[in-house]
Amino acid sequence: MKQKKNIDQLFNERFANHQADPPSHVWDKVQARLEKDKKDRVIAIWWKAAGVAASLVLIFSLAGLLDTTQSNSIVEQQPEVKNNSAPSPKIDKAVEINLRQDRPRVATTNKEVRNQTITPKVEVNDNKTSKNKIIVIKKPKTAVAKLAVKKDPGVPVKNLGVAVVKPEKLPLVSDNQEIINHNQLVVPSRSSAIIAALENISPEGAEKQSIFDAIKEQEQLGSKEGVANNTNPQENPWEIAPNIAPVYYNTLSQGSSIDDSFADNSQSGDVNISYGIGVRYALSDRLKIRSGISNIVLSYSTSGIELGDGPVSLALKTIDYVSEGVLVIAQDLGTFSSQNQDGTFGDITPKSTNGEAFINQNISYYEVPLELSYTLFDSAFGLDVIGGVSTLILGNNEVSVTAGSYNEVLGSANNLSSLSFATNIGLGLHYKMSSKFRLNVEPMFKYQLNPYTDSSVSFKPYYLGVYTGLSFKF
Amino acid sequence: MTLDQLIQGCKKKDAKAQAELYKRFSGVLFSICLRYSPNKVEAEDSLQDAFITIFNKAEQFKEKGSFEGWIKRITVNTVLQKYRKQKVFAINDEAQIEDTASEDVVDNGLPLDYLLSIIQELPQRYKLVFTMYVMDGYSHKEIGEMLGISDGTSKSNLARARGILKTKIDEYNKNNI
Repeated sequence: MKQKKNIDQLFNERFANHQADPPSHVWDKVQARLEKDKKDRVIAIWWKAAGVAASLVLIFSLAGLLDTTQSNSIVEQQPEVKNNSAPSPKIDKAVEINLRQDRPRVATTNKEVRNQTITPKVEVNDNKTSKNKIIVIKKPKTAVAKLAVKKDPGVPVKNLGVAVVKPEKLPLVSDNQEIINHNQLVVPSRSSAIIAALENISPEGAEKQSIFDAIKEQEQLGSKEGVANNTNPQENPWEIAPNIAPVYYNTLSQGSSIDDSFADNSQSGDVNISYGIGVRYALSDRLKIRSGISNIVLSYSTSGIELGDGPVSLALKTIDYVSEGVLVIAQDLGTFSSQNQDGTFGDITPKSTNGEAFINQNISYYEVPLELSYTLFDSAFGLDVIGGVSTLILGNNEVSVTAGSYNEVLGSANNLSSLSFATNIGLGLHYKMSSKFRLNVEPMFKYQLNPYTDSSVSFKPYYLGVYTGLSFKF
Repeated sequence: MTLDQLIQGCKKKDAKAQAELYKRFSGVLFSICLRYSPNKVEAEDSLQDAFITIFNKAEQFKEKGSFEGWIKRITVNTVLQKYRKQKVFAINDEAQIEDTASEDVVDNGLPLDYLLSIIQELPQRYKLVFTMYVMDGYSHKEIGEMLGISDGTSKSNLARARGILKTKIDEYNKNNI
């Protein structure tokens, strides 16, 4: 029964309700990709978290910087404080000159004293104690100021050597007294008699201090109180830190960098070694910028493969083979038999090896990190958070196969970026062995950003290392 | 699960709903992929890409039009995108031929597999136009926009596709009397 039909109509009708069942592996792949997307989302979240962490570090750092500037300025200013003003407020309250007889004259003639620091109603008091008695006498000829400081309250003045002006000398004092500045230098000008008197009165063993001694003492006190928090502005900010680390290499995702057919094979990261030298520069007492150079060896192996000899057309595309002609072919386990069944690829001769076969990728990089570390606390033991990026320059690159005692280098992977980057995050634990030396143990997580030139490689390698070493300041 | 529940589930990226959606629609969509692709392997790849896009964009489905229409459009676009990348339309200097309104063929129970195979064998630029125009109801204007070609080229490609298909069907009929 012949039926003429318009060709459009024919195809339209026949395919109108056409359905074709796709093979089951399509759904497997869709699922795998959905899983991967989910993981990528997790990574994206991780990135966000890392971003937040980095911002926090930055904020802390800035706060730390401000804080440090403040404490530094305290340290720097402290001497000045002692120099110029510390005695000043105290003298109002504390200086008590024993002016038993001539108080009215002091009050009236000594205008500058009144105007500035010393209360005009100077108490005439022989045996009173004071918290901080400071009397400065200037010798008329030599013009050397002397400052006597007494700190202990409640102790009789005389015993502590505060110069007490004898009442009978006061007429002279009041006549000639002048205030040099508001720093309470009470300067009797022409009264060597007073000096003599003072020297006589001051008890033996009195702790007379020059103003410089006083400053020193204050500084010491200051540092004991921890005002400066161990910061020495003179300290060299540079530090060098040689380090060595066991490094574990693995991937966050399924997939193989060597071939897609190995995507679902089991892969195991190996533990290798990284060693290098780092330099650190202290931006503040909490924030350090770190760099350096290290050599890092990474490797991982893929199992579930079979090995054979075959032509270059069947060889792994991502490998530049060292040999030519008949090559060692590595394929997903079971591939050879299925290929031999339909006779398409009959030209692979499976290798008879004992033991499970592995394909190993060995990579070495020269790593140049650029990181910031922020000290969370710092005593004998300290803790830092570290974050940054690393530039990785490809060094050695080798793909080999092993099976039992059989071992052969296939060649080098041709899909590795010669220059790639990693993001680093970690913790730094340190122990202060001396003021110069520190022992550092730094567990770091480093995620590689673009290790492969082929962006379709769904292999997301990372490495974990526990960087251990000494750092010393010089 | 009703279609609505299925759509809601997919919007929430619920794995069960995704699996069910695939089960329900993969046959229809695979048919599209087969028609638009040169072979089964590429059709499988396109189907995979299409489902990923559908699952990722599910929340953008507005529920105004038909869901099936929406996923079909996504599938067609996914396949086209692939061939746009491959620049199958780079050859534009072919002489355009007139749109032959109808080519009649004898349908003596032509097997579907055969019909599919001759579509797949068409040069990609003819195949896309033919299957879009004849089987998926796109106008020449739409095809031109989607493929980045002129209406004239679309019409010409359709005519060439028809010509090739007719020749092949005639040949088949001759060999299978």
